[in-house]
Amino acid sequence: MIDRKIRVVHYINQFFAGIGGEEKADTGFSLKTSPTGPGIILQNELENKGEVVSTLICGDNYFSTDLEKNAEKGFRLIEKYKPDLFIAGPAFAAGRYGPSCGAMCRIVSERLKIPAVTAMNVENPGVEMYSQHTYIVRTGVNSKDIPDIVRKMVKLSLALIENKPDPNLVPPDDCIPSPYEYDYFTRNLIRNVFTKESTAEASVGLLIKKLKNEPFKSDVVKPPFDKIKPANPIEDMSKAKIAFVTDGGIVPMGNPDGIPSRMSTIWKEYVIDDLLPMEGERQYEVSHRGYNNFEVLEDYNRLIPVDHARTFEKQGRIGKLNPTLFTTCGNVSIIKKSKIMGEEIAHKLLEQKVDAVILTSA
Amino acid sequence: MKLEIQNVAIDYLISAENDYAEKDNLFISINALKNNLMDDRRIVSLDVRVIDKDNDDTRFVNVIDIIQPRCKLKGGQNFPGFVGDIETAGKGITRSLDNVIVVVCSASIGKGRTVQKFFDTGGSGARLTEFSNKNILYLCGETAEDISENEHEDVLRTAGMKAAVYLAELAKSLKVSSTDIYDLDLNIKCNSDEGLPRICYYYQVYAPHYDYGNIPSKPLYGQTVTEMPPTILHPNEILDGAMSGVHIQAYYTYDNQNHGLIKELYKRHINKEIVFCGVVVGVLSMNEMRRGFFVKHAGKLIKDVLNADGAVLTKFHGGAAHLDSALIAIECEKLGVGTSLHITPFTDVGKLADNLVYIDDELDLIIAGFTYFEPVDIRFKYKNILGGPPESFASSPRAKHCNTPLGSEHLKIEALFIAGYTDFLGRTNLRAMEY
Amino acid sequence: MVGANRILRGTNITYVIGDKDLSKEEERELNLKYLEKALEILQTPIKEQTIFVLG
Repeated sequence: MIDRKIRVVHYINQFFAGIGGEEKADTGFSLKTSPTGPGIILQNELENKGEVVSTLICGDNYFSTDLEKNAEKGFRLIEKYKPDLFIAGPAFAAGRYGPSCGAMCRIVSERLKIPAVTAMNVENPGVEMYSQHTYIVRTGVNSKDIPDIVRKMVKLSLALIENKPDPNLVPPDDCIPSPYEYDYFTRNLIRNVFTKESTAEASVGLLIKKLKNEPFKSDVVKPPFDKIKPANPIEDMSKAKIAFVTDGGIVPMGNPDGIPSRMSTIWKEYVIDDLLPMEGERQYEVSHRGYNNFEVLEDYNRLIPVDHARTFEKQGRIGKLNPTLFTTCGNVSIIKKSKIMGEEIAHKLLEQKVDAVILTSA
Repeated sequence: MKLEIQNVAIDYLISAENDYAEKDNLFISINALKNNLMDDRRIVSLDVRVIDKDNDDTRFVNVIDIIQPRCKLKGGQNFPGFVGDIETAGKGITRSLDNVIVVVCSASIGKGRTVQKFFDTGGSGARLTEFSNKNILYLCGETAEDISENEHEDVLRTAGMKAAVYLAELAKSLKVSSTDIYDLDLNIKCNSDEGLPRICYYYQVYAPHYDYGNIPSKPLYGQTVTEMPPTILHPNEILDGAMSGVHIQAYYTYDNQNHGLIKELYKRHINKEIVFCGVVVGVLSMNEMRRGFFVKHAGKLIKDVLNADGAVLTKFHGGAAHLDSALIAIECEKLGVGTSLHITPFTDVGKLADNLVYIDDELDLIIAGFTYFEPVDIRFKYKNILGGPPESFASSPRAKHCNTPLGSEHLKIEALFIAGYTDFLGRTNLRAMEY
Repeated sequence: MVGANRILRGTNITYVIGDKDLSKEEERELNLKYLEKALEILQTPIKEQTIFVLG
């Protein structure tokens, strides 16, 4: 909560600043100490609650050639104004203006720990790039809507500054304004929200609509999954190097690298002969808590067919068994993070000139 | 089958020298109850306490079951197969006490278990659960040396059920505040309402690979359900004590007695919006061929026997369970039965769709009940902690994803571990939403 | 099933390429069959995501 007038800094591009259109898109940064262009509408909307103390202006081409570097530049130009709130745009569907607004909002909110709000159309690439780093109010494509959009931006901004707990949420994140009430793009978070109706009431109500062929809205809408082109088959197995990868969570005794029992974002590489020796005491344990580990603890071959693979290598049925095992715990993993882990492991495998992988999963 | 539940609203549960009931209050002799419960030789010691509804000082940890006090007045056995003899539940008359619950805790921290639930009667977490403002009969104890972890829970759970019956019987002189009638004939000839959609409920009740103790739960009439093919139950059975809580902590006995989806389907049925045409319970098989058979068989029961137009499906916990319920939902859709599939996301970041283990165009109505691992901050200067030591963790000690022990006044915990906050069966007013 | 194209069905969640109900010898045989099948699949050309079974 702020008792005095909210200090606002506004970012706009060369067009909205009145400098010029596309031909002036290479213009660099400039500053004005008053509201400019849509900033005037912004100031009107703020009334006496806030004051636009400065307007940062930059050409769309100039900024978007290096978003990170220019965000840094822009930030250094405005930090002396000590804003309580940062507003950028609105950018609507403008494909360079959007990311520029997003980048400015991100750096200001991260460095100064103040709310930053911009506005874009769903098609704007800035939405995918920055929606999780700042607040992007949803717009249409028509910039004639500026007064309405600015109104929405101010409404959200005041809610962010007020930071009032929402009784339908739980701490520590209970002060987030509802994206459904304030119409901004969700920021890649999932929250449990108290609702008026019970889950059962909602579910049965929606099913009845579905059965009556009336329109209904599913909570979860499936994403488009990429199809990946299958790799070419191995021509000669007796010359191939095969590696084992597992998400069953086999780790050295004591789990020294702390592979978590769920939601793992790390993987590790261990020497198979040390981790899974054919004789002697068990040197491994299982960190995966999504299945009963009992059988795998009895015999690692139930998860990874290491012993037979060792024999095959001796017999020449496979060219080489990669001496290391890549392991992680595939329990409640976040798909984006799993993709990253997969890419990292793949790089290592390529470095080690592995030809094929057998990946086992519990 | 017709079930009449007579609800008696209790004002206070009070510990006293003798058992009696007066003016909406129940007075209970702890010693008399203890002696009664210790008839079970497997119980070595019992801690029984009354914590009344005004209390806002207590944290209950290691909660293994919560039971609403109920007893049969006519037409059945008390918790058949658990306490009473086997008899079909869901008929006759049952007394049910409002504002009282039996809370059963396990004293040990729990070796190898992954879920231990807790709840508070005060502090900032109290509003998250309906259990916080009830009168509580607390039960915890030690069992004989040779009893396994899971059997220990079952023994205490049974004691809790006996205590629940004891309390309900004690209220016989108190006035009935309301009556609920659950009257449903699954026989198709009796449900000839034209034009009303016939909706059934598929209830996934068990998945053995989550049962960490290697001794399976016995949630249905006190029997194991491991590898049990899909089976038709009358919804009244579940409401009337045929189903208990499970080791896996997917649901409590209370959650079955007050089953959110079953009660909602009944409401719509009484309201003549639908015909509630039955319940199919199923389990996750550990064998792929049998899983295939179970999927087909569930589809058959739903389509050909219950003659459903629609089905709501719930599942609990993780990926394999999700896969199973999704396959059954797809089978239903193929047979022309429209579905609403309940899932529970796990993460607090990402999109809801990231949590889908199985995707199919047929599954166009998916409900996100709640997300498991949303971090929750709870502040409570509790005076008493019951059910276990303050060093207990909500998750098995080695997992340590809840990074503060349950005894912390400032507790950082995840949504799943708060008893009564999250419910797979649809009762709570909670949804997972993208934010 | 996000990116895997060559998929081999295993026995069970808790013993993916084994079977606790078999004798030790039988289980080793089964384990061998799984590995052999996996290697065979790696040498098989496919056009799209394909699920194989031990058969």
